[in-house]
Formats: sequence, structure tokens, C-alpha cells
Amino acid sequence: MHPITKDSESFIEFLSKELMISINKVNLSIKFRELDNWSSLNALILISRINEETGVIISASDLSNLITVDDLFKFINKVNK
Amino acid sequence: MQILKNHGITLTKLDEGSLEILRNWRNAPEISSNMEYRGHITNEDQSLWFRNLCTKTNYYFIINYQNRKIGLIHLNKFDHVNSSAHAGLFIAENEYTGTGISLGASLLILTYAFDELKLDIVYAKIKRDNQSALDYNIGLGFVFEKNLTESFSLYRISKDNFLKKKSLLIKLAQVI
Repeated sequence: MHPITKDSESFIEFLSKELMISINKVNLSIKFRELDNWSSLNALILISRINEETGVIISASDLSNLITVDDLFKFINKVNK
Repeated sequence: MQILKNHGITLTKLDEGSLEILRNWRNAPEISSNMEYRGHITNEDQSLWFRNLCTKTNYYFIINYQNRKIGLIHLNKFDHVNSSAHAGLFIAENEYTGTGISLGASLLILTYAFDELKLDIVYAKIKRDNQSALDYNIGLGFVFEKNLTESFSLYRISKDNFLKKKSLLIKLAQVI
């Protein structure tokens, strides 16, 4: 298990740090596209960082099927098993 | 030239077969709210606009991802004296917004603009309260040029600026 995906709190902390937004603005139920600073470009930077941290590759197609932060967290953990 | 393809994205030149889907996208509130013209576009308006697009300046492309039409990207307002044009982009299918596909499409159109059309500058008119579009274009290398109206500002990217960022952007686009 990688540090950023060991639990949801760690993943939320990672997202807030990477997107440079307050941790209070991130929770599992929020739609990640509605997070401050989320853009097409930042999505790719974040995907690269997730890949660096976990080895998981998330494609645009994968991302299009995910809605919430929890969906993203579960997807990474599922692929990472 | 009808097709531009790379980064998992295919851009196909706008033709009559895509006019209705484009009209529906353009009339959707989430798209029209970020445009300068926000009125309803009728079938007749759309046909007239398309007929008036000169063949030589029809650089409107449908963005295709995995054989699905998901948005539009274009170059227009060509200025041959200053070797410039204006670019615009929207992703209309909600599930593909914020996925990185815009970057693949932008890389294709900017590479085409600078390498094939030999432009020196590409402008983007952006609504000032559209923060994600502002962040996105600044991330690509666009810089503020001037305010156009109460709501819209003009940004620009030079060929040199684009080339400085291109390799990094291509690296990012590899995961699309």
C-alpha cells in the first residue's frame, strides 16, 4: 500500500496538496471536477503525480467514468491491488 | 487537410454532418454561458454561419475521443499581416471535462497553427470569471494581453513560448 492510498484521509491530504487548495474543501463525496483548481491541465499533472506515487495509470477514459473523490480513491486502490 | 491526430485525440474538420450536434452543444447553458454570444442559435443561423465560413478559413474541428464526438476546437480571425489567429475550445460532453483531453486537442491545434500555418501568435479570448479556462490557458503558456470588454480578456501565446512548454505538455498528454 502506497502512502497516499493507505486510507482516504491520506488521499484527501494528497489531493489538497497537489491542487494547492485547503484540505477543508476536499472530501470523499465531492465531485472532483468541481474542486478548486481542477482543470484539464491540472488533471494531467495530478494523474502524473498519482502515477509517480502508486504506479497506477489513469487514462482520460478512466477519468470520464469517475465522478467523486471517493470514486477516484477506490479506482486507484482497485487497480493497485 | 481534414484530420489532425495525436495524443489519443482526433480532430476532424467541421462538416455539415456535425452541424446539428454542434448547434446543440453551443446552445447548452453550460457552454453558451462562457461565450460572448449567448442567444439561442437556430438551425438557420447555424447553416448561414457555416455557409459563410470561407473554405480557406474553416479551421473548425470536432474533437473526437474513442470514436465519440465530444467538443470543438478552432482557429479563426486570421491576421496575415501579424501572422496571428484566435483559438477557441470547448468540451461539450460533461464526463470528458477536466480529464486532460483539452490538452491533447490544444497541442494538436497549436502545433498545426505554428508549424503548418506558420503563425507567430495565437490569441484566446477568455471570460474573466471562467477561472478554470484562465488557469488552463495560463498553464499552456498564454499570457495576458488586454481587457476586451467588461467580461472578456485577451490572452496570447507566441510560437517561442509554446515551443518552450511543448515537450512538458506532450509528456503530460501521454496519459490521455
